[in-house]
Amino acid sequence: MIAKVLMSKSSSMDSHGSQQGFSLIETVIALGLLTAIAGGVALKMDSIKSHMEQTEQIMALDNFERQLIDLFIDFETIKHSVRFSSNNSLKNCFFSETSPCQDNQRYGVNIRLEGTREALTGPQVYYDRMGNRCAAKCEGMRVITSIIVRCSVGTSCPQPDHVVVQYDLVKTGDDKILRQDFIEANQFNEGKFPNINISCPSQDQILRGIGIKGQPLCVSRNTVSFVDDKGGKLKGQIDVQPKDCTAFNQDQNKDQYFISGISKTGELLCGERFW
Amino acid sequence: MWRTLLVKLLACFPDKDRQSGFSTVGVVVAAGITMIGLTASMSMLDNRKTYLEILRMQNQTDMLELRLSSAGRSMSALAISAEKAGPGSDLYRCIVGQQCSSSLTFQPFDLYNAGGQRLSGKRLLNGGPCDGECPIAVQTEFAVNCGTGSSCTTPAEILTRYRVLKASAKYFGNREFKTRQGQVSVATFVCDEDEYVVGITSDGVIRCEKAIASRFTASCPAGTAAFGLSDKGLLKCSPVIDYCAEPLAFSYVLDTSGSMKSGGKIAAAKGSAVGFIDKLKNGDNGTLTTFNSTAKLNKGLSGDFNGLKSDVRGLKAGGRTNMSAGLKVAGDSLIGFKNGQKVAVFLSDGHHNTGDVNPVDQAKILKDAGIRIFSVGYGKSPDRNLLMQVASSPADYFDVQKAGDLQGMFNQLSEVVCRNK
Repeated sequence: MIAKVLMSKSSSMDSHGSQQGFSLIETVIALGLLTAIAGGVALKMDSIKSHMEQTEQIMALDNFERQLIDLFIDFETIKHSVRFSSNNSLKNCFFSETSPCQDNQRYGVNIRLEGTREALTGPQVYYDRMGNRCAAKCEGMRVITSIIVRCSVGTSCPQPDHVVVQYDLVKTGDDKILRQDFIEANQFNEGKFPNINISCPSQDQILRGIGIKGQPLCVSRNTVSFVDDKGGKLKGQIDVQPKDCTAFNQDQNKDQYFISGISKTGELLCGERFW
Repeated sequence: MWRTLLVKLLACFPDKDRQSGFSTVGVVVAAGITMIGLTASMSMLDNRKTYLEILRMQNQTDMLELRLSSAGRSMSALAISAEKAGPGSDLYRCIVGQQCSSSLTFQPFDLYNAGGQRLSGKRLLNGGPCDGECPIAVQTEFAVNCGTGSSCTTPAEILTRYRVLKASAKYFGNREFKTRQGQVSVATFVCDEDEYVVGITSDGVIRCEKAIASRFTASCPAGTAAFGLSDKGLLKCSPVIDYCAEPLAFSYVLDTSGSMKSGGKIAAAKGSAVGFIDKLKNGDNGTLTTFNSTAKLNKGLSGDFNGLKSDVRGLKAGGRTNMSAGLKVAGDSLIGFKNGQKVAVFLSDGHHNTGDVNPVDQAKILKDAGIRIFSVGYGKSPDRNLLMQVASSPADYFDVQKAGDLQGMFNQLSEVVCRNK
């Protein structure tokens, strides 16, 4: 639009036979207008950039939180951290058979990576907004953790049946809670079961896991879901019951017919023995 | 309006003030370039903003899924969910009341995390509570598995199935939101959905894999064909031999015990064998073994078919039946022979009644040495069960009750070993 105005002005000047181009003042006004527009655009860009920075920070926080969850889910890490606790009641609950755990007791515990003494959480550990650890106090956040011990049955138990880690991500300065969650530590996080001896009760079953009390979790062979090479589920089931081409035989012999193939529904295709 | 204002503004300056300055074309080009640059920058930033927003949305949904699966794997979370559901629910009856019924049917329930925060229902994208028009809805269902048996006081596992659905089209605008769903189990260890335990490493790590159908594609080794499936799903295979293309090393192992005298059995056995020998081809070799109380190699392996026929014709019956001895002598005459497919026809009308070695064990030695044994149960009362075991396979056993049918059996054998012309 500005260009059109300038062009029309220029044309009108030409019709009077005056010299070509704009005067300095006209140019300055036009440039002023352009600058105003550019300023507006720059403001908008600033707003977008600020929004983007915030989004990037939140995403960094998401990633940081995910790493924390991976840490808190590991029972060995929790046990290691409890060893450093000054709370004897908590230590006894975990490591002494004579002092039972009280159901639903909460203990503040700083989490330490297994094999290290350095705390990764606690009021004295600071992280910046992107989740990077600060050497000293810095703007950003802290991770405050506590452990809740639970018993499956009754109000006390010799060892904790379940250990829940509560974590609060709090903003440095005003201590506003940014994120909070409760994670149950998995006692077999890496799926390691040395010397395990477990099997399904029937030969027609396949093992798919270990139950809450160590029972075998089995499925019948007939319910096994087969997948193709691309990972897609196959609708039909492959029957692995023993089969022979006996139906074709008129006498007692069992191998006068051979299998020439298997149909999609698992039926044997039999051909007369030729050798 | 802007256009009019600008024209009026420029008109305020009289022509006399006009001095030489920037050319019209120069100003227009500069303005154009500036506008293009600004527009491009805006567009790039906008794209980046949209990309980050989509990424953030995915990140939030990932986090929500992580929270859902973490709660589904937490016995504490399920115990709290059961308490919240109340005594009327099956989950409460199972976890609190210790009366579980195994069921593969999933039932809807509200899932809470181990801190008692609700995760099911209409939620914000980050899983936080939401009233009014909410972006997503979380549906959760559970099923109890007692392991073995239909009821139990402590469940072997509790399965939780979750779905994260788009609840507000307005919130997402043009952006796509794919429904997320998954299934988790609270158990000591469980393979992922549709995976099964395939092994355990030396340090106790359980390995799970999907049942990939192509791995179950079985085939027999080259030169063999399948004749059945074992109870483990493995093919039972038998060698396929092209007898037409191979020379034959043929051994006739004939029972000449006393019982063969009756009913013209010995005569038919000699006649039909001679007929078969006539069908042997150049390059084939033949041998004759007879057995009664002992065994005798009447004719060693050779291509002299006339001599062989002559020996067959001269046989006489008498004595008891020592099948093992016959098999051993016949085996000795064939074992070690390399030039051809080794085939033995073992014919008997009676029961093994002398000799210590079990004929089945003796036959196994021959079979292991690559000799295919066709056995013939001859007459009314041969030891059919034993002779079937002597044969290389059930199909290699022939039952011939009448002497007149023996020729038919040899004809059938001619077909099998491709000596029928």
